[in-house]
Amino acid sequence: MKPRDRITEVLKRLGHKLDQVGEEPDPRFTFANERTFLAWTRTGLALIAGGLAAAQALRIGGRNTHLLVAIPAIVLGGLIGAVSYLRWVRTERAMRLGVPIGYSPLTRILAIGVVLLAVISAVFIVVVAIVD
Amino acid sequence: VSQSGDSVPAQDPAGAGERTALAWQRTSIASFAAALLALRAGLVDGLLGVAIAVTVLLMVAALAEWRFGARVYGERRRRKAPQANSRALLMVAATTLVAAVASIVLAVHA
Repeated sequence: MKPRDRITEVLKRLGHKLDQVGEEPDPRFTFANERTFLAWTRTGLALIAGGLAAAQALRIGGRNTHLLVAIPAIVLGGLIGAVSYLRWVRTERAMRLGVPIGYSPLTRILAIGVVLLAVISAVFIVVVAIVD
Repeated sequence: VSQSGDSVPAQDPAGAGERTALAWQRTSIASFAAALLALRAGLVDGLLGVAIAVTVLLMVAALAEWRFGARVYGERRRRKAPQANSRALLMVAATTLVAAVASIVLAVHA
């Protein structure tokens, strides 16, 4: 594939000229898709903020163990922020073409990520309590 | 119920437009809160350069998001069909990603 075609393909995947695809869906569906994207964005921002707070609050004993909680939370937040846009593009395209929307992996990513974060945090707190 | 997308339904009892405008405003407030938290982290850990950059980015994003919310209200008033603004949404996603990278830098130096 030529570089120009590759750039066109990437822009197409990122939602460039999405309004030229298929037919305009019911406005309420467009609104609902936009709200879902915004809700995912807020979840991502909350994870990033939580990670930053953990980096500040869990600094104990001069070790870098607080990063075990902070970094995964921030990475998960950034990942959700990016993937939620791809989910929005995929849903919008499916609505415009009148094809099934399909399932998004985002919910599973968030559920697994939050459970792992909770386990890591719990282990961290117990270990710190025992050591100190 | 409009299926053509030429205009929003004359009556919008479900308030889809209003809920979307409020969702933009909640996102704007979340961006603003994240900006303040990043600034605090930078001030505490002496990483002012990164903190100011990410704070300005998130503050600008918060203002833009508030404006997008106002745009949705405006379209609703004019009974105009909402247009999927992929660039605005891409901007929001890119901002979140950049804020995440900057937050990793702030967390590592905490």
